[in-house]
Amino acid sequence: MEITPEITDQLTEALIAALPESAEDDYQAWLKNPSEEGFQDLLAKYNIDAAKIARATVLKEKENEQ
Amino acid sequence: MNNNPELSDNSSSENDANQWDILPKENFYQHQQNSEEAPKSELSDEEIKQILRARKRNEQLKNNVEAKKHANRVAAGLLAFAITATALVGGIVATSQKDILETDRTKQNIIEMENAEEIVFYGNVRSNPEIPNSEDPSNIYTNTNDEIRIDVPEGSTILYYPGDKDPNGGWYGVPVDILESESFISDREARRLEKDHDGYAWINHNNASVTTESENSSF
Repeated sequence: MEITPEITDQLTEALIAALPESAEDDYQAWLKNPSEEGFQDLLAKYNIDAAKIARATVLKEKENEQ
Repeated sequence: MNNNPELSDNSSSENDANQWDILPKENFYQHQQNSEEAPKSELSDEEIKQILRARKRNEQLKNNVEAKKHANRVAAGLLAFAITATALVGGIVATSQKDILETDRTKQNIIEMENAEEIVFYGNVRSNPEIPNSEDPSNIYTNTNDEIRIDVPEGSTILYYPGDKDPNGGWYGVPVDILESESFISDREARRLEKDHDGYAWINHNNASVTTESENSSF
């Protein structure tokens, strides 16, 4: 299965959607000073199970391909 | 006063919360019916708020090229691992340690993650994922209060064991020599790692995530 821009966008949106309301200030701060590490820290701080969301995204994409 | 948060350009989180509080459900459903995402069943106020919040954040991200690039790189790394983890091709590369695993556990479906760069976890580290921490000597590190981040040395391989018979799900296998030198490991825990029979310490996936090297650098 290829990692396409579309599926990457899809996962990014899902990760951001998983952030709770309480993460708003941190998210806005990250937007002003974005980095890979900052985004990972944001997900970790709010206990976002990024691996699980990624697996769900992959499985959904595979279902769509069939 | 504009009650529709989607039309508002006020980025204050407090004002946005106020707008969501007074957003009439009828306006939301009318908008939904005009879009491709018309709900099939009624959503709660909290679910509506969550959807609107997610839309606003993603709209901001689309307008921020730099942030989108960084977020997509993280996503690409996660996808690379997820694709590997869901492949479940079965069988494992024969190495002496893998042979030990083969004789100890269910044997199939252990996956190698060759491009792992970092593992982040909270406790629940065992010598054998099929033996709970309550039973010695499986217990290695149980502190779930502190977040531990470990860089995976180049050339090291993290394993993923789906744990089909385990109610806790899958486990990441980390070579014990990676953990032994970490400062959070006590002397007692280091002795247990030394005695580990298959050379891997196992961390439950619910308490951990692994970042892999991104295979796509165009984002």
